[in-house]
Amino acid sequence: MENTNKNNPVPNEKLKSSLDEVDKELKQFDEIANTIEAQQTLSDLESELNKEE
Amino acid sequence: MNSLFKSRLLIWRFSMPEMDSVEAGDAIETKETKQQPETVDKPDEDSAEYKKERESLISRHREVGEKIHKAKLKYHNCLSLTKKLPEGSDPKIKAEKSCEDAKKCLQRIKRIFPKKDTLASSPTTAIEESSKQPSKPLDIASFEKALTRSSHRTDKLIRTLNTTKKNIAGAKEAQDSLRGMGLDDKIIVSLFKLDQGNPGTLNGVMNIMKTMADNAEPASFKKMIPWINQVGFTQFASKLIALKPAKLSAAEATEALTVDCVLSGKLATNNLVKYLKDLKASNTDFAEGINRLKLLSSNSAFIKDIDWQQNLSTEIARITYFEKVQIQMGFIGLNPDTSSLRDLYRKEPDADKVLLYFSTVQHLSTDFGDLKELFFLEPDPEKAKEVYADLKSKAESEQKNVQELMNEKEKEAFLEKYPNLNRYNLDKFRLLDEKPGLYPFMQLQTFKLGDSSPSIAEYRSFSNDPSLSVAIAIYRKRGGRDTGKLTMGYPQIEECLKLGRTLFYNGVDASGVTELDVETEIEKINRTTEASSKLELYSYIDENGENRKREIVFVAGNNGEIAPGTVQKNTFHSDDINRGLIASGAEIDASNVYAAEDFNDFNTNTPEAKREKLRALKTAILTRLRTAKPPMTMCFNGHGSEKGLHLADLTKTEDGQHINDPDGYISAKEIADAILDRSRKFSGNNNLSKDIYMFAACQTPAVTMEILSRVKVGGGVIPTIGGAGEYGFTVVASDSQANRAFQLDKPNAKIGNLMMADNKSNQGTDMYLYAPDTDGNPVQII
Repeated sequence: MENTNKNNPVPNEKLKSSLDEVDKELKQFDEIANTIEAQQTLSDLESELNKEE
Repeated sequence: MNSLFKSRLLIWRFSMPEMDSVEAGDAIETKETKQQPETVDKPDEDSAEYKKERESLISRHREVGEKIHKAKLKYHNCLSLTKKLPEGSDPKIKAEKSCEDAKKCLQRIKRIFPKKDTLASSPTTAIEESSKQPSKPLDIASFEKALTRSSHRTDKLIRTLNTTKKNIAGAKEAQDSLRGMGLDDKIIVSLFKLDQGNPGTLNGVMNIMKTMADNAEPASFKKMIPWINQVGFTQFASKLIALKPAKLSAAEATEALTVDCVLSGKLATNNLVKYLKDLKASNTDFAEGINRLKLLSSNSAFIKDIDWQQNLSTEIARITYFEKVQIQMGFIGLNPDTSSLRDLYRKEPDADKVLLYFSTVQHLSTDFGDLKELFFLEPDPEKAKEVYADLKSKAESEQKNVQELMNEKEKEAFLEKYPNLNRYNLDKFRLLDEKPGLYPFMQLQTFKLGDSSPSIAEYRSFSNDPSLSVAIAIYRKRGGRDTGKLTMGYPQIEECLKLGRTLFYNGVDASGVTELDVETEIEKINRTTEASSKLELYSYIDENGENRKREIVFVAGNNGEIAPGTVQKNTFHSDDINRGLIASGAEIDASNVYAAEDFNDFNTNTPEAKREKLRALKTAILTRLRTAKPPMTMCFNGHGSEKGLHLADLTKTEDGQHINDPDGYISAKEIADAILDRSRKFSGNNNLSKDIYMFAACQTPAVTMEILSRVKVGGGVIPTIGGAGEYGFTVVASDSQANRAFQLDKPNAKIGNLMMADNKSNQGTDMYLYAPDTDGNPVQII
């Protein structure tokens, strides 16, 4: 019976809300990732500037 | 979680250690699922509306799963970017903080994202799915199935890699490598796909396999080996086995590895050797591994890759010498290449000892002539003698068969006899430097000569063969490489020579080889060879099907001057040769023997009297050649030079050097003219093309070529013609050479007997023979 309980299908409503929430988190993740890439760009620029100096 | 997903999970864990292991859509137990309440307001699962919504959500679940997957890739990329930022810099500090945030974000996603099996439409299905997730070792069948069912295309993979800014060049390289190993595109893509945490490199694929091996139980691991071999991962398999000796017994591992060696050659051999070294280090079952090696080696005849064989034999010596493991190179039957030994000598501190071992087992016990190689390595003659003594001692203690060679005094004499061996070898290698591409043909020459390795003069003579450039071009076109190792077997090298000479004397030079279908041309030669092999040397079948004796013209030269008062020794026309010819079916008597040695007064005569005798003899021989009824066989036994077949030397210069006098030899032109006259006299006689000319003399290839050229230009019938010594081979004036050239004491001797006699190593010379093909053009068949 444990197995049965454990693997009960997620109702549509719950599934939908979970997916919405994941989408929201993914957006947030993208923003964070973009800031990391931006740091890289910033660092590259600084490096270039240092070379020019 | 089924085994396929488990394997993917394991790979993911390997590839992305910074992250908690999770796969999009994978079955991870979460609080949410555990706390899932019993359905109070249970929706109507059977309603059409519910089902439609369900389908839509499942589809969206898949899409979100892919987004998560991409996010993970992106996260991995971010980590890499962050690592590259300058230590302690502001951007790095900020980026590290962001990475932490990103990681937390992904962990939240992992918790929220519904597991795949909770999408099942009914509890029954869920139970079935659940029952398929036992905690068991890697399921090879599922993995294989997963690999082959992938519908992704390589191009799509490359695009994916592009968007994730991964190493595209590496991906392409890996893809080509995998294709080169015979892997199906689908499998390649699947492997890449499975390893997107570290995509785009061959190492990434290796990581997959390593992960699989790491996590497989011994039983599953064993199952993996044949499967990996089957799909073409032979090189990987051996590496894995080498990494995991604990999972297999020595016998099992070596069994798998020997299969691997046969399939993937040299590289796998190295892996095998590495494994054996590991075994040796761990002191487990080393003898068993060695036994396997011996077995493999002794059955290596079917392995065409000589390079590999040499590599194997070298490695065996390297790992076994100090262990005193009883591997006898003679038993193995491999011929280690001296250049690889030299490489060892240069690179490894213990190589000299390995070389001693080689020399002991290979050369001292079987081929004394190759001691020269040892001396190449030891410049100091006194030290070389010490080395030799050491070798002898080792040979006696380990091999027991050196006693058959010669006694101590004879060996000492041998060493004294060759004070300039170093010079000899230096000259030999200098020659190789001068003429790139010569190496395999020189090795063939050495092979044919055997104990009496070629002198530098013989090497030079050999390298002067004008058709060699064509043979070298053919060798290269057939895939042969210009290295200090043989990349082709001797029979194949000899085929290159035969075709090279045939083409050269039919007007094709090295540049013409590029336009030729070499294998087809070799096939033609083989057809002529096959047809000619049945030709009898001293008899023939007439038009009524009856066996008849051929016309024989036996010519013997004079073996130089002897001191007055001593008895002339008949070297070229001995009683043994006479008897041998008759035993072979030749009808021979005083009427068809033309022997300058039979002139008992020859050496005491005045030069003018000698000249008269020789002129008369030559006229008689040429007349007989013109008029003998076809098919005729001419045998010449004597000295030869590029000018022709020598009946005798007539004069000497003041310093004792011989001068070739036209009255003393039969020139190529004279023989060619006789053949042309025969062609006219017996025009239309089918037996004319069955004429045979055999010269047991030095330096006759050039004579033969001139004869063939003149006969061809003159429109005559090309006979079968050849000699005992090819370019670069001297012919010793002895019964044994006549024996071989004329196939004495061989009843019903045929051309085929000559072929068999030639197809041996250690014969002291190399015969050659040209025969007409179906169009009447000369083809080298021996």
